[in-house]
Amino acid sequence: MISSALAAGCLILAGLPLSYALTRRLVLAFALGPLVAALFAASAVVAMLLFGGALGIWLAVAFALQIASASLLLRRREAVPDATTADLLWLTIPLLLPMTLAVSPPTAWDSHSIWWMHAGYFAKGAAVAREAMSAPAVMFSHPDYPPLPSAPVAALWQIAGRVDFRVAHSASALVTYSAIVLLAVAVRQALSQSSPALARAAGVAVGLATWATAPFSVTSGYSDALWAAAFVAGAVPSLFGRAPRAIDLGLLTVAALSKNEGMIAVGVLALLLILRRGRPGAWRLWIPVAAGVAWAIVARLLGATSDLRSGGRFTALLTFDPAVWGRLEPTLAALWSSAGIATVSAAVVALTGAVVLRARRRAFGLPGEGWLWGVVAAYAGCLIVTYLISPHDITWHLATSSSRVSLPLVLLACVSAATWVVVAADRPPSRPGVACAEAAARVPARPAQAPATDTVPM
Amino acid sequence: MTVFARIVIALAGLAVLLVSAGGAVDAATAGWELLQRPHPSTNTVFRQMEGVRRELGAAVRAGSVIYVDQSLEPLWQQRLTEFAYMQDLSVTVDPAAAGYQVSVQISARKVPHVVAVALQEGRR
Repeated sequence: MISSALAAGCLILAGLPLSYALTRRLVLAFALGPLVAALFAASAVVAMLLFGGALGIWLAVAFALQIASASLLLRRREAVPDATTADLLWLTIPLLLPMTLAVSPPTAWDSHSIWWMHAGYFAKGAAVAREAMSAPAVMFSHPDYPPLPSAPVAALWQIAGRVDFRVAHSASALVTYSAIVLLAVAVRQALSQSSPALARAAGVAVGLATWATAPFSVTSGYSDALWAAAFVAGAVPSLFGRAPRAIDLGLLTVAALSKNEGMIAVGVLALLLILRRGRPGAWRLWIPVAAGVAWAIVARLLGATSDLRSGGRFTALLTFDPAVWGRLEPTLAALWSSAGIATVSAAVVALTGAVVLRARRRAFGLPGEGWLWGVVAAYAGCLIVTYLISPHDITWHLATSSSRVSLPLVLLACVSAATWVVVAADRPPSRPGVACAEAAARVPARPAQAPATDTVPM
Repeated sequence: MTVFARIVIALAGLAVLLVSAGGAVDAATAGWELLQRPHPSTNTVFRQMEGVRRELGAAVRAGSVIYVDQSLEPLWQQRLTEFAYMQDLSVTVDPAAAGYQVSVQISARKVPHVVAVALQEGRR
């Protein structure tokens, strides 16, 4: 228990300098700290694999770089809006309740077979890690998977000088919690023109949806909730028409470096948003994609193989081989079972809202959701293709992964649903320049005691 | 009409969010139940894993190459491989290249124990 608490403290403090420099909000910086620490630990792992040596040396280099970049940023950054101490307290405390499951014994299958095993050989230095990544005996462990979920665990084990699975468990859960809190903050910020109470409630509701599809995997050392929450948190500002900020790019890089599906999702986002004209800074979305591609190249150079690359049935897919296309029905059934109801229901809500509450939505400063649903459709398509060409038995493959990898679909659907609830339930801000200027002219600035009236033309 | 549409959209959106929060309720409930136990972070499987990790480190000299018994169930094949890299060992799929063959035997009291057999030709 004490070692887990110390590990959590280490992770928060290790990422605090840059977190604070980026946000200029101390409480938000504490929440973001573990993700920043994990990102820098992953950079240290990649540098170690490329240039050799012990992980400890590269961790020190990464920390020094973080201090240097934080010093530069501190000179010019303003405080991040809509992330006050009150916001963070309202957002973080409710999300702690399901996190209590993190006290469970550290015995989850993938956590041991993939993430903590990688942490074990990363902590032993470059020579051992390189040997392990290309060893046929380690194939079951997916050595090509990205390093971010393992890197902070490896760093803590390296610092402590011993392997401790309880430390690994709490570190993995803390990094995931950090991503979930940032997701809630992203939703709260997207709804900055609604009442703070509703925006915070929407943030909490979307954060709680992280447990929707595979609740017991969120706190047990799996990486799916981590990358899904980081991906949606980083994507929301861009999907809602804003230029991606450094924090958003960092979150998307976390997603791309946490699992191969995360890399796919970030690639889908960048590809779709490059089609969206007139968005300054959209090119920056390629930075996280580049980070994911860089890892894929490093892993391949070191001899790590992917099951899809070595056994994927791409040709059979293109030639309509029934052995591949026969997997479509069980795949659709499994995805429907884990994410179908929430996603389709949210899509119906979004369609209805777009027809009857479009102007009201604009009044809240919220653009249309076409791109958000485009990402949902494209990511779902990628999942389906992956299951079709997978070399594994389809029943086993779906049973062991579909609920976890479909989580981003539910999270994006919940972001949509949460915004529509706020648009429908809250009173639009009345100020000049908003889309429903006619309504704004008729309605005085929000009197606290006034009854809610619908004055916005549809 | 608009007020009706707003009510319907708000309720339907709320329903999506509530259904999606069901897993969080399950997790919080399970977490609360675990917290009522004297040792929530320990169970039989974890004790067995830790025992096998300790025994592997004691049975095989650091720096050795081991071959993991392929007749073991996947749980112990994968745990032995995982723990090997944490104990400064490496793992080969070629018994001729190994210094030890390592297996797990389950005792009469259903406790797993590491069995390491030194091989003549391999690296120890």
